This record gives sequence, structure tokens and C-alpha cells, in this order.
Amino acid sequence: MAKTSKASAPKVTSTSFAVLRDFKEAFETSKKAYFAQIDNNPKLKLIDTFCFFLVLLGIIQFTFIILIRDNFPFNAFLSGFIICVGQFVLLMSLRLQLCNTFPGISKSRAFGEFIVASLILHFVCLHFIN
Amino acid sequence: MQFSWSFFLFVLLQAIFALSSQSSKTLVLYDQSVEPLEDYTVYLRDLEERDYELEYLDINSTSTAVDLYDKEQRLYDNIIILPTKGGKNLARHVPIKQLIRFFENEGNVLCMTSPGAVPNTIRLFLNELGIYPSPKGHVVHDYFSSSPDELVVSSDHLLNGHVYNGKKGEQFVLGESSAALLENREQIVPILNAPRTSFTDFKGKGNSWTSGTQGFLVVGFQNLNNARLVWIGSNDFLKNKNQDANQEFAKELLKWTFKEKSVVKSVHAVHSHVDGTDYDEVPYKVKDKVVYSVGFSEWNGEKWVPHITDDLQFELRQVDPYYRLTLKPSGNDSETQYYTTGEFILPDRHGVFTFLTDYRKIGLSSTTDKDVKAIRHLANDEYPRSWEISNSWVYLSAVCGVIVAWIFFVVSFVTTSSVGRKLETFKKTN
Repeated sequence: MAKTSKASAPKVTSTSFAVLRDFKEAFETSKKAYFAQIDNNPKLKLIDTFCFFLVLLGIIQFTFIILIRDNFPFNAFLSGFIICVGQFVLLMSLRLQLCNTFPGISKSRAFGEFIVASLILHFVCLHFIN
Repeated sequence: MQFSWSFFLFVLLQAIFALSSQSSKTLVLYDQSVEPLEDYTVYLRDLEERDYELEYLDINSTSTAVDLYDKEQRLYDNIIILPTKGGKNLARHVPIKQLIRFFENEGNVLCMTSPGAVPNTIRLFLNELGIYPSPKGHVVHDYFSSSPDELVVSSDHLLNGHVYNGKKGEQFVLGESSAALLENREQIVPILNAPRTSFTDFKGKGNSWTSGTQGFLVVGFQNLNNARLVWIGSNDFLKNKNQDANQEFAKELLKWTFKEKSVVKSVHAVHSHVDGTDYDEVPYKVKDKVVYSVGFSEWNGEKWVPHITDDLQFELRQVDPYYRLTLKPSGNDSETQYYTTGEFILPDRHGVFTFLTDYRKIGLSSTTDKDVKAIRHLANDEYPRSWEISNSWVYLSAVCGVIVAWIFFVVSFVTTSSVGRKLETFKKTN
């Protein structure tokens, strides 16, 4: 019993180390690829910065509602939170189309659609908060 | 001259109303063969002195029924039934249905039974009310008292301060007395109970009707129309010969029976917004601050005086009470003590609400003040806007932040150079 456990313990650590190393490697590669991608394309960099900002805002609002333990103007919270989520989703779809254009939809048209959708989102949120 | 005439007229009217506010026409039924009327003259004379119009009738004298009513009009305000023996004669004069109808129509009744005479009419009438006097022949005994031959009860056995507030050490002589069992009813006003060491039995046969404080010697009843009934279990209680011992209690008891005391009325029940605006001007909506006040007067036998108490409650109810507030004294005038809830906030619930003071105390006449009013919900433009709520400033600034950032984003997105080619080449190499 003790023998087997002794034998298996280093084995497990070795495999886990291997997995960890593989993961680290993959993470490093994708990070490199990602930074290479956004360095090459300032528009993507812009989109990602905006996305990061939105996530930050969302987290702030959620922390706030947990800290005060009261969701009193719930519609206000919803509208504040949803505008972050919605804007994030719209940005992601814009980003997808910039990287890999959908057949039959040009990049400028995608950008135009993004603007219209965003305006509708802002309109709805501004009205919902009051 | 004109002035003095109108003044005289005014005084005259005042006098008439003052008189009429006191009920006065009284029918006295008696049985000369059992208890001669002369035995009760002290209290009857006392009543007459207080402007009671007494009409005497010996139940053995005529054979026709007494008219308690002229069509729908009640002819008497009070009935006194002195001890009678001929059950049939009494039943012929005052059938039990008549008596019940009389009592329901705000007529007061004073009746007596004794071990020697329990007329069926009175017994059945009392049974309707939940008072069960001991049957004929049952006598209350108390062998532990100082006078075993006749029942003497101390003032410790008085049960209701609104009827009579006895002094310490007072003794009431009841002589040969019967006792009653009581049902558990809100309208019954127990006035005097039997001593702890007493019991009621039938000629020593051990078949007892009551034992100890279970038995009641004097019992009142006040119905929902505030008409009052008093039953006294003894012939001797009101007799002239016992007046030294019983006089004060008996007088107060008669006053209570004929509504000369412990009569309470409520006046000027009003409610309004805190700033004094009426409901008719500005109807209530949820969470409005309102105030309710009501005045209470008590009849002391001659005039209305302020009724002072600390157990008045106000209810705001919609099926269930949403508020039950103890009223606080707020001011008084010569007749009325006013009470107020202070300001309170209407519940966050719209619908039809009742503003209610329902004052029911055993021994006092009951009053009910009820006002049904609708409380509306907020109109759509009466809710606070988001910027008026400090909590929502966080969310509001988040929304504004997103929009500003978005404008900034769009401008910079358009102005940055396009780099589509580079991206593709990167993808290919990858």
C-alpha cells in the first residue's frame, strides 16, 4: 500500500507538472499571438480596451449592489448593468466581423450596423433608468 | 326686546332638549300579593325626584296585555319588574316576545327574581341573554359568614367599577337570594358575585346550582344598541328596610340601568393630512402623512363631561388592521376630551380603508366611529426620478460613462488607419 502510494505520488506530480507546463506553453503562445494581433491592428486594440472598461464598470456596479445589500432602484441597476453587457456583446460581434468578415457583409457595413445597434441600446437604457 | 325674546326661546328649547335627553317614562310591574309596593318606595321616590314618570301596574289587576308599543312607537323607556309570583299573569301582561322586542329597541329593563318567585317570562328572557338564574326554591347559603340566616356580601365582590366603585369594607344585605350561572358573552356585565364559601341548593338536598364565585347575585347585560338590563337575584336588596346598607350601591345600580351613568359618546371623528388639508380637497394616496382625532364625552347624569381614559384605540383596516394605534389625549373643552393618533404614514397599499374607533368596554356603553375612504396609488409621474435617488447615481454614471466612452470609441475607430491587410498576412503566416 505504502509502496504503491509512494510510487504513484511522484507519477501524479510529474503528469500534473507536464499538464501545467503544457498549459503554460499554450497560454504563452496564445498571449503572444494575441498581442501580436492587436499590435498589428490598432482597431482591435481599441475594441479590447473598451471591452475591458465595460467589464470593469460591470464589476463595480455589482460590487456596489452587494456592499449596500439593497437593490432599491433595481431598474437603475439593471439598466446600468445591461448597458455594459449589451455594449460588450455588440463590440464582440464587431470584432468577429473585423477579424473574419461574414460573407456578403462588408466591414464598413458591419461598423454601421454596430453604430445603429449601439444607439438603440443607449436609447433604451437611458429611458429604462428613469 | 327682540333679543330678549329670542334668548328666552333659546333657553326654553335648551331646557326641553336637556329634559328629553334623559329617558324618563317607566313602567313598574308589581305583584301586591307577593311583595307590596310600599316596601320599595325609597328608590321609586328617588327615581321620581329625578324626573322619571312612573306608571304602576299590578299584574293581578287587569287581564289585558300592556301595550309596550303604539304601532312602531315604543311607549316606555324603561321597565321595572318587581318580584312577582303569578308567572301566568306576568306572561299575559308582558309576553316574552314583547319583552325581547322592547329590549332590542333600546328599552332598559330592571328585573328581580327570588328563590320564592321565578316567573317563567323573566327566566326564559334571561336565558335568551345567557343568564341562568337558579330555579324556584334554590337559595344561596354561606355558612362561613357572620350571619348565616341572610346573605351579606362585602364590596370585595363587586366586579365592575363602571357600575359601582365600592368603598372598602362596605357590606350589602341580600337576604334570601338566588344566584345565576353566566354564559361566556361579551355583552354580559357581571356586577356582584357570590362569596367563595357560598353555594346554591334546593332545600338541603345537595342538588346545587352554583358553588362559590361561580354564582352571580347581580348581573347586567348591555346589548348592541346599548340598552341595559339588570337582574337582581334577591327581593330584599332594594327593600326599604335594607336601605342603610345598600342605598349607595342600589342608587348607582339604578342609574347605570337607566343610562344615567357610564354612557359614553364619541364626537368629531375627523382625519386629514398633516397640514390640515381635508380628504375632500386632496384625496389620500399611499404613504401620505395623516392624522386622526376623535372626541369622547361621558354623561354624568346631568351633562356631558370629558371622558378621560388611556385605552382608546384607532384602527386603520382593510379586512385586517394595518394600524392599531393607542390614542393620546390632545385637548379638551367643557364637554369633550379630544384624542389624537399623532401623525402616521398611510401604508404602502392602495384600496379602500376604514378609519375606525370601536370602543367597547364592559360596563360602558359602546361607540363605533367608522369612515370608509379610498387610498389611491401613486400616479406614474409621482415616483421619484432616478437622479433623486442617491443609490442610482452609481448606475446613472455608469450609463453615462458607457455612452461617453462609446462616442470616444467611435471617433477614434474612424480616425485610426485601416490595417486589414496586415491582419490577413498575420493570419496566413500563422
